[in-house]
Amino acid sequence: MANTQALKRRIKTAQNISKTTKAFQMIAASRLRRAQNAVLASRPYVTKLTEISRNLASDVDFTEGSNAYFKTNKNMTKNLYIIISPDKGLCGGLIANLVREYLKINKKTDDLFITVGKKIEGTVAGSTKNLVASFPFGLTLPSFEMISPIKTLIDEYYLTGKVGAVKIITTKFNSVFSQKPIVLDLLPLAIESSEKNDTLEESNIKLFEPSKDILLSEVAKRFIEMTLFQNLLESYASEQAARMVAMQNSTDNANDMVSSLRLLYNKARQEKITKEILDITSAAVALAAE
Amino acid sequence: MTFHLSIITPEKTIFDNEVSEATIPTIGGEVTILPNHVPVFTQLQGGEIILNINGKTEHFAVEGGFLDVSQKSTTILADFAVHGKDISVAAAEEAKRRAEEKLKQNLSAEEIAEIEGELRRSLLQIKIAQKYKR
Repeated sequence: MANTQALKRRIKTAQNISKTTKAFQMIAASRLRRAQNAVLASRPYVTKLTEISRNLASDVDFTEGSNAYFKTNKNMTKNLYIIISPDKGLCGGLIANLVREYLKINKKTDDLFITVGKKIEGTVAGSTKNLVASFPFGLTLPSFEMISPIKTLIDEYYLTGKVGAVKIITTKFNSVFSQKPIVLDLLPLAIESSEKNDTLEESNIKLFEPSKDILLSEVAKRFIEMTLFQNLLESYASEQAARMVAMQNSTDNANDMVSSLRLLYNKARQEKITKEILDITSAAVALAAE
Repeated sequence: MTFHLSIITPEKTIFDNEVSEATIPTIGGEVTILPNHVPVFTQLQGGEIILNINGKTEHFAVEGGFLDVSQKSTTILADFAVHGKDISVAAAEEAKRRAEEKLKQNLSAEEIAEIEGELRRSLLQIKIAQKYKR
């Protein structure tokens, strides 16, 4: 009797878990859709910006002037890493993979780190003293306003020559089933100037107001901001996709558990009934024999 | 005569169509682009974009960005842009009030700059939205 009662309770628990994980899965799915739309919506801007940067960069002298973002500080080996992770767990191996990527690069002792997202913050804070700043990722779609404090910090370290390069560690969204941690170079900016989108004739007569130098540094600012923003969006999409798949798996597991427990429960119940019938019939036989 | 113009912000494409005339605030002053304009690339200033589409005018609030006129098309890459008829006056008034309130508190120079930007944006939006009301 106690056995069937306990089994019943366990079935109930597994069912509740399956309901919860199903809900998580559905939330993640709708957020994923929104994230994908946001990535798509910002793509025309990025495409145009890249095209403009290329046209501008084709004949600007990077060795001098205000375009410090393109300069390489060769004698500065320190790097500034920006690590982007989710705030919440329950998203499969995504965070573990990110941590592994971080441990791989953390060889030099004097590299600096900026973290976005609570999940990576603890790891970084525990393993290095060079945590410059840490930002929360937030639970909703990242907004463009999140970029400005990060950008300010990057400027502070890169433009004053405290670091030689700025890199981003984030999770790339390959597909719903595959997200990979990657390390990207943010600064110094590398814009290939080889391709000419305008016809030669046009680029010769094109007017640049006030000057190419100033415009390029303005474009470069947007370029950095957009790169950061796109990576935040991508990280968010990865998180939601990973969570969706993880929650789908746990829902399936919980349902498997329910069916195996139900089997056990039915067996136990049948056993009990058989036993009772046996009791009754043996009693009847004993009475008849008397 | 018309030419193709698109207004793109980091969040989405606001406008993408043929226009016959466009007045755009740039850092060198307000310019009006007509078909077959000479190719030019310049920076934008906060202000109002006025488009002439087959005799009808449309207004947009814009804040920072770039203007790229090429032979094929004209593109406005704006940091922030909104169509006049999409402006919610109530929301803009509310934002303006909030920004003004914040400015009275003690804040760092950076915060003040940020809030002033917000205030400028909401004032601009209110101004443009009123044109649509009339």
